[in-house]
Amino acid sequence: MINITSAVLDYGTKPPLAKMKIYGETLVSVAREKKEIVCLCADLTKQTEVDAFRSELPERFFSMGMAEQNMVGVAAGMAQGGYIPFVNSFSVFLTRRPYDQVAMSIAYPKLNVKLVGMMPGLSSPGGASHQAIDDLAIMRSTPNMVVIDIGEASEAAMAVQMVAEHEGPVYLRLKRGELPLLFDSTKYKLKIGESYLLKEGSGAGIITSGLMTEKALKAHQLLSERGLNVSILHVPSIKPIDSDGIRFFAKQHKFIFTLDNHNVIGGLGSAVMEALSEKGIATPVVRFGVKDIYGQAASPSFLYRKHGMEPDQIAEAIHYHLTGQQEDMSYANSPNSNKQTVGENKGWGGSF
Amino acid sequence: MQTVLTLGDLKQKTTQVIENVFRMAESAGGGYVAQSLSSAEVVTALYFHAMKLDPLNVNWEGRDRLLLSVGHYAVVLYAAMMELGQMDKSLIPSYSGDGSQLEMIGCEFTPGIEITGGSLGQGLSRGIGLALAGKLAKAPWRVYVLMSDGEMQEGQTWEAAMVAAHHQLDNLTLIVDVNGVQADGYTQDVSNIEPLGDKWKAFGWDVAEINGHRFEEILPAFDRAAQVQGKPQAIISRTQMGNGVSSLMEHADVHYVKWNADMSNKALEQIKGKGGDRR
Repeated sequence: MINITSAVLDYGTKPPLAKMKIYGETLVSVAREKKEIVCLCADLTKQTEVDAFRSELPERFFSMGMAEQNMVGVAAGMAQGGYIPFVNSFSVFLTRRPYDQVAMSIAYPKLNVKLVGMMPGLSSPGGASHQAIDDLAIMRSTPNMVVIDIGEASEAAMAVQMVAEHEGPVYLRLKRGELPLLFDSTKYKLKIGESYLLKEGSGAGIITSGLMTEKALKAHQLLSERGLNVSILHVPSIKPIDSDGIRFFAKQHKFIFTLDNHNVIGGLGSAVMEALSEKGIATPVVRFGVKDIYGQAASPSFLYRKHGMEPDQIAEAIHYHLTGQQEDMSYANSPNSNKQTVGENKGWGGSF
Repeated sequence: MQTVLTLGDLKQKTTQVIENVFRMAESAGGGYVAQSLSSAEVVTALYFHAMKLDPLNVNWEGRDRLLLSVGHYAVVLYAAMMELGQMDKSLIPSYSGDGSQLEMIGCEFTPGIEITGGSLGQGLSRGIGLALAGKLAKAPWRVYVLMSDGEMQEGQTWEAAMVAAHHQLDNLTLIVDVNGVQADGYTQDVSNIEPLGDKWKAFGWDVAEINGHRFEEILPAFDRAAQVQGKPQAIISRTQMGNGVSSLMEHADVHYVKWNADMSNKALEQIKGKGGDRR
């Protein structure tokens, strides 16, 4: 765990600055230096920001057509031949669809392939087919796979460089297009297996990654307006995960709140619980995330609110926990539960 | 690297390869023996005629790559590598045993096995990747991929077929061992894959259809494939499951067979009785 509280930009009540196409631009500049990098895409070239790679470095760009199983295998072959393939698609089409190919052609032989999945969690309005709510669980349970979840502009640029330098298979989960700028990248370095303390408070600790970190900072702001100063631990490296840092952080707090732009089963929240229970750390963990149901075609703000993942909803739940004004949190609010409406209305994490 | 062998030498090598297969299968109590018999000549031709290999260095950088998509055939590759000198025959008793380097279904942690092939239909895609890498690096080696006819039922095969032709990968040769049998029975009954030659032609490949037990057809097919420009090549090798061993040729339920020393000896008698000529 590294303390980077001084690197967190203070944006007060104003929205953060946003940057466009960080991934696509950074990949081209990294590939200019690292000649072994090749780029593969399955009919989503503009959509995954690698159109710049196609025009700038055409001899190292390979169009694979709309065929992800083959693309994953081709990437494995190119890695075997000494190249570093960056394989681009939407997260769902790199994890669900060609999973056996990922496991047998890339992960098992530990080949140096970078799977870059766009549109994580509920960030896509495309409905269940396009919303990756299970990709972290799938890739986290895949041996030899490094899993990185990125939702911020400065770390997106660092992540591309970082995964290019790492020898071995990586799943890099990214949002395309506009990303919030939350950190001063000159003040820290992104590392595989590291976690970052963004806010130092007391009582409640939020553990977050990817796009949820912006929401965590907003929730922090809302809580500070109500006189509560909570901590935030940012965990972009989902696997390997900084188990020691997470345990140290959890011991200092009365409650831990995990934020997943993913199903509550199998993502960051699950990883945190594993880290804590392995060493008998009894700090209660409340998981925010997709409530074990598929998404739907709707705006991200509608979906995040439906699943209780918006900053005001997170702040309210934390406030209730810390001030003792909460209802019983042990109810099951899975969609199949009779008590579903309780959880849906409050939008809090619960048991799954 | 290798010396040029006559047809007679190749037939003799094939018999030795088959004997190695039998010995491994009997030490494991069973194996994919019938497939080894359908592909023995093609595999022997690959190791002793078509591919540039270093018998003393299995990882020689300049080697032609053989990617075994149908990992179930690993035993016949081990057997051929043993004949070539790339693999020690003392490993025969360890085949498929606990902790053995020679896994029953080929995986790439065994020296000489380039890819992990047991999950069927994946090998051609890796071959395309390697062929693209070879082109990009202007490497002199070629890529050979060995598939079974059952793998023609996997969707990924045809994704790969399209992409290989699109990228004009003339350094890539596919061999399909068409023995007509898969785990559930005869391929034509399970889910018909024919006409295979027409399919590969339609996907933009150079196609040769041969009797996969006749070196007189196998060798020219490999020689010709290496000369083709601008297209990947498919060699449709029509073979007989369990070829030469009557008990393995009578019915289709021979995907995995139990095996023992007595069966090895009887089968070798049948094969050697024909002077190694199995066509």
